[in-house]
Amino acid sequence: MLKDITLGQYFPGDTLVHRLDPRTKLISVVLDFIALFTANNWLSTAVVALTLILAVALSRIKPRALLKGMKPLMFIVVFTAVLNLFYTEGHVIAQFWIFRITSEGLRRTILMVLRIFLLVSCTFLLTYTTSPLQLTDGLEQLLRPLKKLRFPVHELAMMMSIALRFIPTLIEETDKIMSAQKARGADFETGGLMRRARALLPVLVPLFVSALRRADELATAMECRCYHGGEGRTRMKTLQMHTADHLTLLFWIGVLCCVIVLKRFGL
Amino acid sequence: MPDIRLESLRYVYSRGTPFEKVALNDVTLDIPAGQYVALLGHTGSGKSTLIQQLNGLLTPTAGRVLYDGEDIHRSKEALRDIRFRVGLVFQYPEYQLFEETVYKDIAFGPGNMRLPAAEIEERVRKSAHFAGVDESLFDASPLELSGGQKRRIAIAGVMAMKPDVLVLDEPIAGLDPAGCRSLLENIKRYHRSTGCTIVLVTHEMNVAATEAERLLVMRAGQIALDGTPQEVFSRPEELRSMGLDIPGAAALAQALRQRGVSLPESIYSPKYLAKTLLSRMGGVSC
Repeated sequence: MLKDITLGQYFPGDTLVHRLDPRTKLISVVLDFIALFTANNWLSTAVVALTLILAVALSRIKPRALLKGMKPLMFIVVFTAVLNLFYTEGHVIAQFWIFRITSEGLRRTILMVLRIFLLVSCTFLLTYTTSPLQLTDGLEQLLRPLKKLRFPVHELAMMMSIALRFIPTLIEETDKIMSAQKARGADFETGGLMRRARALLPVLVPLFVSALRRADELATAMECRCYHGGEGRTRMKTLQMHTADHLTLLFWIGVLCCVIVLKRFGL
Repeated sequence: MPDIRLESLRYVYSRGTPFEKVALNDVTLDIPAGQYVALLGHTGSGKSTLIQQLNGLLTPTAGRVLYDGEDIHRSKEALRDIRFRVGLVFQYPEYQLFEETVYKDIAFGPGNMRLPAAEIEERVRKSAHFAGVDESLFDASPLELSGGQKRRIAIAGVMAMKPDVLVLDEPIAGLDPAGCRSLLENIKRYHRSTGCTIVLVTHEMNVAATEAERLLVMRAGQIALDGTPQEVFSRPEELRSMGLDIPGAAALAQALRQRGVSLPESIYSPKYLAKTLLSRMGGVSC
């Protein structure tokens, strides 16, 4: 149940996509987003889709894993689809009761669903192929210029990596506490909203107590290892861009240009 | 009191993902009512998965769990009922306490059974007594007590449901020696006076040797050895190959045997070893 949440999960591997510098991947995702929002017709969307398919194939991530991650977002997808399908003006191709489907609406719906799907798959591909540690490292490096504006880049990155690090731990802990309370006859599945909310109390109290205890222990452990913030801190693994990274970025810029040109000529 | 029977039980974690793992592989097992069983095994051998099958917290991938001859997963009601009949004390149960007072926390289980208040009170007192929780602590907040006390409260909370089967996962892990001894004594006393089945998961061979009447040793999701302590501990090589040890007394007896002292293979408890050695030395009484 709780363990099936795939959001933000990392699937270790040793493919080209896994080996890329996290900064490259982060920038690629941003470029991909820009390209997707620029693309407004079949051909340009297809170009982005093909690029992503290529990336997924290279990463050897199973398409099923990507689809599984989509599940929680199904509601948004269906909602967007319905809105676009029934509320777009244009040439009517089907009609029943108060609903009208136009050819423009159909086209827009398909493009919109495709766009959401590609957006989400792209972010999933990033988190599936990049360990949380690398990800925050990359983010910290990319945001470094903001330090000049006194923006706490290092602290933010540290908080992020700690949060990411503890998500699985807390999920596991929640699972364990729920099982323990179920073993004492706690019932989380039946009853009205209020009853169910109250039934969660035996889970939430121990969970908070243990989260606070963990935070306290972690702070002590960090201090014992002389952690004193980002000032003067060096790294064991410094991020390094290689040829593959430069090529990937060039490639993405190419894709983006391609999309812009396609849009310009309305193909 | 009813028996438990596991029939070709199989359980797979995270099926269909890259993290798929077979935790139980075709386990068939009978636990007759009233037995004191110790479940042993290396970390990751499937002990915890097995005990969560006993009260239906996990649904088997294949196979059946029979309680009193009936499948525990036959209906929702049956499944809820089994939770009260098979009491499960998890590892480090002290982290599951949540109520404002010790009394309320112990009463959580029986309260879920919708028992009358008087009955609940009686059960709380009795189980607190069995688990070694002093009644003067009833109004204290469980979160402010020591680790050992918290664990006793958590165990009392499960005993208060008066289960026919009490399953304890590593109940003595992390306790000091005195706390260990008294907790084990409490469990034994509870076993004797209620006649319920006990399943004790432990790493401690000495504990298993002295407490249980039957040992189950797991390896890679299967029951590798099953028998009385005497039978199981007479196969030290097999135990060692599974990353387990034999009790201190058995190891000492084995070492003496290798040095030419003739001792029977069946020695595993310190008492018996001492007795045998003393009689060997010419019947000196102690």
